[in-house]
Amino acid sequence: MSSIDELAGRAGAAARRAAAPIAETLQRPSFEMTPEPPAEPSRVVRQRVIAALVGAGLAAAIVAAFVIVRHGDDNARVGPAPVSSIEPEVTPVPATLVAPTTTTAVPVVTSSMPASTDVSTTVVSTAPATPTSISPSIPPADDLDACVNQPVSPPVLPDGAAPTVEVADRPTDPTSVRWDGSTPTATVTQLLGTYWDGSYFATVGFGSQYAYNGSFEAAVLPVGDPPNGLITIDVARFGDGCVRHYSIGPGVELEEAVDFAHTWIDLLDAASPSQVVAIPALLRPPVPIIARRYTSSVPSTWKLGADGVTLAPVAVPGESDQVLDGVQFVLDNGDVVTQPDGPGFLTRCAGETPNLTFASDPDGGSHPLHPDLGPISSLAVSPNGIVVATRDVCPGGAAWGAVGTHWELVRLDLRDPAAVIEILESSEPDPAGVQATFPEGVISLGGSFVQSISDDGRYFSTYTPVNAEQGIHAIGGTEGPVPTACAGPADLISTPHFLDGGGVVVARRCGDRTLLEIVDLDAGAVVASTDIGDAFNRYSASLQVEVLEAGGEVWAIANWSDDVETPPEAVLVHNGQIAVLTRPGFGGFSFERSEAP
Amino acid sequence: MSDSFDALYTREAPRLVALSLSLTGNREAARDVAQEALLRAYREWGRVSLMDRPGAWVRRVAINLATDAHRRLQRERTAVSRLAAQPAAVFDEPDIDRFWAVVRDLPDRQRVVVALRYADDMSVEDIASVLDITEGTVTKTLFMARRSLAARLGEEES
Repeated sequence: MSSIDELAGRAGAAARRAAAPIAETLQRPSFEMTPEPPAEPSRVVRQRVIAALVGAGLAAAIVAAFVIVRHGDDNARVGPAPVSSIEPEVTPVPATLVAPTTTTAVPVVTSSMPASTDVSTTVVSTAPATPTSISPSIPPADDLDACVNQPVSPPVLPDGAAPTVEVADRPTDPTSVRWDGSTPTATVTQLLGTYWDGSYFATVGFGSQYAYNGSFEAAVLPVGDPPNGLITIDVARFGDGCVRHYSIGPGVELEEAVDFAHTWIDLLDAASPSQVVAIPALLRPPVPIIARRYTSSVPSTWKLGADGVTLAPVAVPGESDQVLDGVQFVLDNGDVVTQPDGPGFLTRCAGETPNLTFASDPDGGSHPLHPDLGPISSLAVSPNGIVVATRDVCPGGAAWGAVGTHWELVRLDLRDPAAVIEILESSEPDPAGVQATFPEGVISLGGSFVQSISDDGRYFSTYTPVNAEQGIHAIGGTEGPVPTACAGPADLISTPHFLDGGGVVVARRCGDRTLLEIVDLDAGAVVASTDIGDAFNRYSASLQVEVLEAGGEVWAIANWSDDVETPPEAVLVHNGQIAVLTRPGFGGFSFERSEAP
Repeated sequence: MSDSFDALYTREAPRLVALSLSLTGNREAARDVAQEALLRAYREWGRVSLMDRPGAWVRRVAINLATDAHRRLQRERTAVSRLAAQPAAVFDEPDIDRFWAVVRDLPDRQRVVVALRYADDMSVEDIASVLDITEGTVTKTLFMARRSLAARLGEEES
């Protein structure tokens, strides 16, 4: 970007050079009331007449443009109305504007301009809240005023001195304050009066012009080419929705500004530590832990450093950021079973057919898994070829609820070419379960969805919605109830994760506590049970659990937020021990599976 | 009062032309814009002369007029582009013509802030005063504009 200022400087100088002769041709209005102005060469008079007429023509064009603007442009002007009238009005040009020999009053049309709109302070919309996300939101009015208008001294000045008295740069228009250093280049100015949501940090910062420590971050943004231009340093504290906007320079190199920003952030963190505890080395998994930061509609991915404390942005998204087009199951024999993405909701007896087809791909081609399987609503396939799926059965295209329609949970063994579809469970439509009615069908409760399956295909998990937000998790394929260490009722509150050799990791709600448990399904015994506290989203009655199995050991990460308004929390569990992962401003912790051993 | 207007005229006329030239990319339009802005200042002088910053007032008028003229010229260029006509060069150096052409493609505020900064040679504080926005908004807008310019001009170079 270093050539921009040079080019812009030349361009500006060229504009001023080109302007000088043009300006010479302008007609200077005069207040001098000379009864008889000196005789002028006819050429000059003609120029003035032409100038006045050109002005009128331009004004007419302005009126034409203005009509269009008023009807179709919501941000047409950059400045407030310099003329007070609302509608265009005709004003005679003062007689002295043109030579007495052309005393005809030339009409000039003026029009008012709509007030400017500060597009840069567009209100930030809050992203959909999920238990594992946090979105910037505009602070409450008092906090917003403090954020926008309250001077906050920087931790230190570029010369190393502590800032002392702030100086209002413009007492009558206090949109900035400054702290003077020993030299002009050591002065820091805080620019007030504008709210910034900080979402641009994720797009402008994450390279070398970004500083982060604990709860604080800073983006270094050159306004001109350093060292001749200003450099702004925007400082934010995660989660409080306020960005403070400082500028330093000119006279400061970009590298100096970046170093300075790091110094600021380190000092801020030291003065107000985030209380983040390092993850003990013994608990750390063999792959990196990553987290998401939701500052805009596209979350950024950060990786936990070797110190177990610091998160650093990942410049190139890893595999975990890639969004598959649907769900894929890779089988031991090389086949790939694909379940394409379906609609956001399923219309019973109508929504599955075009959207939830699937195919196997053994030879580069694809074909349905089984001629009798038909449309499905959910699917899980074990590596050895056991398929568990759910489907609506709608004979002859009957609408959901008609005689003969029903839901089924089915199993199919792909290893057997002559396999028949085994119906594991079925249920009839319940008119009370209808949630919404559309021309193409109804959205209705009733039946489950398959969520996961064990590697050997013996066990699988299902989720049965009971309303729009909540549902029941269950494990299928077991002889009896899945055991738990909880003495009382203990609902499953997350998707079970099956382990090699018949194990499964589940989260259970036990009273007002949440247990992460490893259960040996073959032996019918609880292998480990860890109380992670009151970790629970009260809105969805659930939490998210990520599981990593490596070298015969198991690590689990639990993500939750108390409700949709509170920041997400997370813990890492390993060998019955817990490490808090929660970091201000971050959510959605998981394992970086692309680096799994 | 006439002395004050004369002073304003002497000081601002060349700068208004330079500003208008960068915003419209057309000598005639730039001249007309500057002329009209000064005429309006003259006509409203009784009120404008009482303002703290008459120069800011006349500059805002010019910016709005130039914005209109720029849009009108864009429409005209769109029409003539069907005849494969190229806009006339304003400057001797092609890269400077190209620079201002890219500037004129920026969003309204960015375009104006860049023109005030470089063609009018104004400080951040003065730009904030003219546009009645905060200095923070000016610096942020300049940063975004420079980023867009670097991307656009860099793409063309490559």
